[in-house]
Amino acid sequence: MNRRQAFHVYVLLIAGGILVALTACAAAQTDGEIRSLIATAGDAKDYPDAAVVSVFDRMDVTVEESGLAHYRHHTLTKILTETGVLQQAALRFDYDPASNFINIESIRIFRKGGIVETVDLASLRDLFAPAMMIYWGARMKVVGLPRLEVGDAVEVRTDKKGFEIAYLGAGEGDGGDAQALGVGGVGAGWSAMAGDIGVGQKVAEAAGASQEAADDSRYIPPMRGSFYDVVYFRDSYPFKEKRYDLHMPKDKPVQYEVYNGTLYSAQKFDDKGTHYSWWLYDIPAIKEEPRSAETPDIATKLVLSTLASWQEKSRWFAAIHDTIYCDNEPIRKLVKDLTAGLKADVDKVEALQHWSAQEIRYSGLSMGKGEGYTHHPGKMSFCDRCGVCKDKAGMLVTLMRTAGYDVWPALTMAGARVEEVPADQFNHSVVAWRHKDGTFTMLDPTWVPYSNELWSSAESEQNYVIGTPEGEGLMETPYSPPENHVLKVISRGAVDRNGNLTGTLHLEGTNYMDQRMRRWLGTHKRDDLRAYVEGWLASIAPTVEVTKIAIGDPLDFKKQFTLDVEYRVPAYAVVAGGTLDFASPAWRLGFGKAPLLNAVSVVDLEKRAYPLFIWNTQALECDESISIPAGLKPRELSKEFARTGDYAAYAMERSCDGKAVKNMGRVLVKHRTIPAEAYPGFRSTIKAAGDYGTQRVVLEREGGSR
Amino acid sequence: MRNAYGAFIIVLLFVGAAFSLAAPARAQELAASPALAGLPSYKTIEARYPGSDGVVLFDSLVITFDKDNHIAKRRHRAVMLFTDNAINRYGDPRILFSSATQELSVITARVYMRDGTIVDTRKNGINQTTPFALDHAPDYADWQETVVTHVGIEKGCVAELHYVIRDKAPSPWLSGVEIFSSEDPVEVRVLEVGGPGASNLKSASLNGAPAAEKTADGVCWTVRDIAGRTPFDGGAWEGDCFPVVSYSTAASWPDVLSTIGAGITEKSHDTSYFASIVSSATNDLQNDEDQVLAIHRLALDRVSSVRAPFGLFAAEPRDAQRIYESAYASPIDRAVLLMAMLRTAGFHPVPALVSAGSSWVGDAAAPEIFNTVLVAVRASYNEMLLDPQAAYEHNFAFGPGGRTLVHLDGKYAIIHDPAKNNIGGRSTLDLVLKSGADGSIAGSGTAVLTGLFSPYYLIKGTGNEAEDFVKARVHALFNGAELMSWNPQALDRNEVTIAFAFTVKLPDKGPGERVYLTVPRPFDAALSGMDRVRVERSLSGDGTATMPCRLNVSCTIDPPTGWKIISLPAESTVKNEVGEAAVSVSLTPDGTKVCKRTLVFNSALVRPADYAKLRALLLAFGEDRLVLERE
Repeated sequence: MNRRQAFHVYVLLIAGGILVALTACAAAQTDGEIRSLIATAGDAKDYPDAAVVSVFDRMDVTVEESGLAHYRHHTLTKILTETGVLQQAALRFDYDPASNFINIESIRIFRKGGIVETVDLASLRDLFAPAMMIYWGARMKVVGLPRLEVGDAVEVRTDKKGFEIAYLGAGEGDGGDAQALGVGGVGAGWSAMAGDIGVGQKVAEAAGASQEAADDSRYIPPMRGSFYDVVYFRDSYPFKEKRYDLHMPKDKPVQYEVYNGTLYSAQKFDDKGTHYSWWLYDIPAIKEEPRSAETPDIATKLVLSTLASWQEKSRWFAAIHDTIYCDNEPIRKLVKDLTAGLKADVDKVEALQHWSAQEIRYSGLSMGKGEGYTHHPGKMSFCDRCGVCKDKAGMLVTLMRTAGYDVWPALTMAGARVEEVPADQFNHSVVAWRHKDGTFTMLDPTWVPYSNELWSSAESEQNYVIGTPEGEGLMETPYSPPENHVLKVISRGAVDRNGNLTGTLHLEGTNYMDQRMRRWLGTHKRDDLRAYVEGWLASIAPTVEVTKIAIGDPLDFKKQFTLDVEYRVPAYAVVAGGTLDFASPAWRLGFGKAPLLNAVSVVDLEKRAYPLFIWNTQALECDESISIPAGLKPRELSKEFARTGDYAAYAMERSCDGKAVKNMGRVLVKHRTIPAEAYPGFRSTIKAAGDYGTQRVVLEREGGSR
Repeated sequence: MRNAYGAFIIVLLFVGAAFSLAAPARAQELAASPALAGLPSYKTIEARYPGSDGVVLFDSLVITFDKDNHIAKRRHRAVMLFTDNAINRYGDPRILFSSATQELSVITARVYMRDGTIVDTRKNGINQTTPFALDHAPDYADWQETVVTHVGIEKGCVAELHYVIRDKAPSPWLSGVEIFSSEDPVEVRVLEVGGPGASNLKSASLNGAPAAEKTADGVCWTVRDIAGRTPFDGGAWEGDCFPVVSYSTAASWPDVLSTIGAGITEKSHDTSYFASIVSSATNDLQNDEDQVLAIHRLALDRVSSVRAPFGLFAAEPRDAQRIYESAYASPIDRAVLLMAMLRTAGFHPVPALVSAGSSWVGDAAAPEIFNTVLVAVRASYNEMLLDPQAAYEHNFAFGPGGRTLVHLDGKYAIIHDPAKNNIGGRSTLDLVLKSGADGSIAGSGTAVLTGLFSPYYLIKGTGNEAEDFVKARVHALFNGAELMSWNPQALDRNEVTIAFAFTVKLPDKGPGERVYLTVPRPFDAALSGMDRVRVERSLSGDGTATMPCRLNVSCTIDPPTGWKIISLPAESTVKNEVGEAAVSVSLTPDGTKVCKRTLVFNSALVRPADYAKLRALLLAFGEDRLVLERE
């Protein structure tokens, strides 16, 4: 071989190498190749904040004509730190016996020293998954790994078939019902069969109960023939390579779009149909930030669907609920009682929604077939008095239809966008009331307990799809300005010559701020309410003494809800040399340790990589007058202070007429999402408002202090 | 749904006589569940408890020890629910059981609606789950939680739950500890313990619990009108503040302790597996104590903690090698791992138990009185008590605070009231503030930390531990003081003295403008337990754990040039059974001002009735305002 031939061989080898690298996903890899990938994946110094790195994450999906999908997942994860050792000690694989089945094909450990260990899957446990508030029989397979060491890598191959219900799904967008309830992620919420034990029966571990179904019918998606997926190309740990391959039958094309970034992609035809591929290399981890926008809005994602339009989804959603909203005599009586004496439609609807919101408590049971994506029949929820969002929605639809209204089930995604590609991206179900002119009023009984809103303003600018026989497209709820959501603090008090403060506080809110007050005080343990309010007032001074509390009825929606507190704070003001100095109690309440303006509690970070998400616009308004002893005047008074901005603004003023120090003003948080680039300005505005509001005023005798 | 007032309702029970329920319920298996009858009306009960969210109408626990030494626990409870708060807490009760060693039967899960309608939970309302804490701990996942979802719940309803958990295997003894306290008022609560295997039952009643009444084959306690209270985590064991009973069929404490000790010791026996792991952690260390501490850190770091939902002794410990392999551990398994590693290094560790509170149950040998397992090991002529779950930062001998300690070394000496060891616990901080350069404050200080407060183990390392310790604490003084120099004057296990110098830069202010500072607390004052109290709370329904100790601060203030002192803390003195607090201000001959703050806690436990006294101390000690004004 001469040098020229050798060069050609060399070029061919390089080209071949590149080709192998590019098509590595499709080809089976040798252990040597895997070792090579592990070796070149880097170590802890390459990923300073990561415990593990995904060397690769490859999903290969084959979809049958029926829509039944087979997901072959192949991952290789390298341990970077001792924390990674502990994190990967046991692996958990969630599944839902009613809609999918997962088989753990193999788990191997590529030891740092070169040995490859195959994990004995005999130790795998098939268990009921942890559950909170949703009890649909979700399961998990858990396997403990032999002790890992830094530098080892874990290879996992799984085979899953079936469909996954995005609606109330696990993982992403877990705002939905959970946020409404003020709890953390709902957890794995896939639909499942009814519990396999009951009253009077012995309860025992049902390990291994999830035998693969004899036939695959239960795994075929309810919208037969359709397929969708939402694939995130980013996670809380870094990836060297992430890949998604999709094999579709002939004549079943998918439409797709990539959001929040870009992906490599390819599309090929083979003898079975169409093979789509998307992949990305060297993906950094999502940095964890408190109150960050949800993953669907920040991670690069692929959204794909065989559905032609949202209208198609809408018609299907209406059709599967066609017969379930029947009433019975007790329901008819209830509707009659609730609407008795009410003339206006909106009053009647409000009464019916309040009942669904307050009387159907949040606890989800499985009704068997259809669980997870269909509402429970109204008669069932009426009897059970419990359910998840969809069941509360179903109850409301039943009540409203009984009352003669034109009302339909709807789907929404609380806390994140729904993209135009009609793939199921919903985590929440609500209700749409259609008027004679064809317009809709949206209703949400899950998010309005203790609320006088028909639609929670924490769900403004939120996408939804209504299920109707005619078919509706993707829509968005309107923006709700902060002026609609004002928490007003009326503060009156007096500081005596010894610096002792006595005062009263009157708090009332509108719309979402009213709801927060009702919920805070209406659901708190009654015998702890005093301590709870004392905790709020500790922002004024930890030595505060609450002398009287009067709380309105949080369930009386016809009356303005109020909190009235009488209190005193010994030695509140600094008394020295003929001066008296103190800060505004009301603004301290607004900006203190447990701030009434909750935007205050989310501006600790100096900057953010991702948008700040605070659910709702809000405003805090202060009207305060604190009487002072005669003969004092302010040493210096910064009288007016205002700033306007796109995301936050304030206008505050302080005055003293020799009898009282007065604080007036309003702070506005104008959007529920604050983009990362706008965050520093937003933070600065909120902090400046707080600094001004809580600034101490020094009062001295006319003619100066001693 | 059935109607409660239908013709076929079996009248079994009147709520006011719940005691009578317990015996028949235990006597036979109920094939069907008869309805409760004579339930009082919602309005009657709510009027009786106006500030409550719900009322437990009755709550009975019947525990039997049969002739083959099998334990069965039958729970039967009915609660009237007034508010959403109560509905959220009682709507979906969770029942923990071991699916490997126990059988759970739910007998009744029923709701009586306000109009008398009865709604029984159906099959789909009883759902087994794996506890969240165990989802990545398959070795413990035999422990399962069955969630019973009550259906038909509305405000004013009564939720009835009745279930039994039976052990599949015999137990060497039957024992337990029950505390008669509740978040909600309880009209009547019954505990009955008996059965053919319980003929030798010993029991104890403490803190106002009634004496046991004899029954046909055991004993019974009945407590009526238990007041509800909202738990507040003051760090104290409920059993120290509320009526508590304990019972045991074990012959003696040595019997119980030897069984537990043998179980832990046996599983920590295999030492060869850890040889290289331990030796790599201790190779360069000559000193016994350093080796012990290195092994302690190793055992802590190499497995993650599982917040086991089951009791300390409810599950057998795993083998040490398996614990290490799995990389996770329950509290008792952590002790096993630590012991195995210490043995590998040639030490002779002994497991030890610490009681949950200061109440002691006499000769009713109920190990449930203990809630912490430690490892005792002799090193450098001292015995060290290691907490397998926490880094060794302070000598644990100062930690138990009135609790009971027992070594499981075959001698089983039960040591009560180690709180007396804490009398020497003291944190003293002497500060002198003078005028520094450029209008700053030049400060010097001395911190003396003894007993519980001694940071010896925090700062004894060879790196920057000591400087980091001082720097962090100095930085907390006067809104961010900067450490200039420091000098350890004494470094002993039980006493550390550190002198240091610092500066405080005051903000740029114009004439008449003020700076608001605080006269600081002594270093590590939180170890006293004072931060467990939120002083704005006027009441506490629970006890508070404190440490008998003395905190002193002296701050001599000569204001920097261009500044004058406007306000110093107000003087105050409070002395009561809980302790004493004092704040004083004096003038020295050279015209500087000296502010002194003192706080003394007398005991390890402040009962709810004494909360106001504790709060009064903290309010007095909290007088710390120091205001300077620019001249």
